Amino acid sequence: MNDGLLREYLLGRLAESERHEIENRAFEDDTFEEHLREVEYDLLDDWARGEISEADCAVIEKRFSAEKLAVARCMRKRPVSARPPGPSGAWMAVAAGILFCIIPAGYFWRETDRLRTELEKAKKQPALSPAPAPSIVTLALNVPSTRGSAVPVFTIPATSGLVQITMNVEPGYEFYEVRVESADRGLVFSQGLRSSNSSLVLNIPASLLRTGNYDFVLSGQRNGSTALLASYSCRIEVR
Amino acid sequence: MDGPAGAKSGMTEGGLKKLLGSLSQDQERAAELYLHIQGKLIRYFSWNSCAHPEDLADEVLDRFARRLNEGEQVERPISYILGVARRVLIETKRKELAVTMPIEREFAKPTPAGDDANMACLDQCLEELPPESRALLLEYYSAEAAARVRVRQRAADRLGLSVNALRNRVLRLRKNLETCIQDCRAGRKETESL
Repeated sequence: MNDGLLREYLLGRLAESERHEIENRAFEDDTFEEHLREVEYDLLDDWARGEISEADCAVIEKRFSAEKLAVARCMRKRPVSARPPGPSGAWMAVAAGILFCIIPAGYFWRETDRLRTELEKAKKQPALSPAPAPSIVTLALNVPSTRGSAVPVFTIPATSGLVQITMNVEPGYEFYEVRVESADRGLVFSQGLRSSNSSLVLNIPASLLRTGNYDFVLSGQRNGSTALLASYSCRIEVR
Repeated sequence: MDGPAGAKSGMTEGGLKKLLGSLSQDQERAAELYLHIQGKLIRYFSWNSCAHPEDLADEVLDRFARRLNEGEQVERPISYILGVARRVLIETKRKELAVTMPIEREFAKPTPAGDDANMACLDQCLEELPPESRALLLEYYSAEAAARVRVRQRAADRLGLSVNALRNRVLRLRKNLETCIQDCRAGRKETESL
């Protein structure tokens, strides 16, 4: 299958039978799917370089996600020999770190009274609810982390297949995202979810979780803007 | 009966166990396959220009789990899941047609301010990569169409990798970079709104 045909697929111009052929193969053959992904990035890079027709440009801007377009455009502007500026890059990282602390602090400061009460309640609750089946473990993250608060410890049997995590959310968002960040491995999992009530259920393959400290960072999206809602810290011990 | 596409109903424990069991008897392998298929579904919906591919992928897996829980026997899960995905896609496109106002993509039309913020995020995210990964990523996507094959072959030779193995490595790097920039942008918006 040539790249031209794959480009036409990505531009949404193929007949159903050709589309299905590509999709069947992408689902069955990982190497083929990787090639299709590469063709996609190359198409976006060509778009960013202005190396495609005006008609294709319009289609790409309509069909591709904002993030992919933004990355392609920025990659084009960042020459191969250029490194991100050292001192200002480092300063930016520090600033981002400070902001990361300030944002939750501002949010949590407003919520202190409510959280303190809930924290006291949570401390009295067992950290891990018993798993109904050996392969699935259920955890409940009830209280967002605050500075100085006790970090709950969850024990997960090494034989677990899946960890189901429920967490309270502020309702009213169209879409939620939970990012699971390990203190020593960085991002290990993220999932987009919808919720019509005040709780979310996150399913994580247990194989992704090792003993260590984790942050479950919850953000919500509404009216096109994303807000950091809460961060739940915990320690997970796999035994 | 299935709910509308995008309306997440949640997966029951029984359904989830059956779904994992249909993928592999080995729990760890089943969990890996679950994520693998979820990734394929997200890309499928993304390539078909859906606004929330992650939600739709979850919807497909929910429906598949429900079917299994209802006792349906599935010989080839991957083909079955793709069939469900196609149905969800059709429903989603029908819903989109019913919407009168098109959804405007935030960065689709370049603006100087948007690009400045994206560039700052790109630099920040590149800085977080190990130096060799950063250099590889920039090199891989540096070439114009005509020189692409040559540049990539040269990089693969230098690293002692096959072109396919190099591609796989770079795809992971680029995906991580996109996620990082997305998060960086979200953080900046949050800061601006404070």
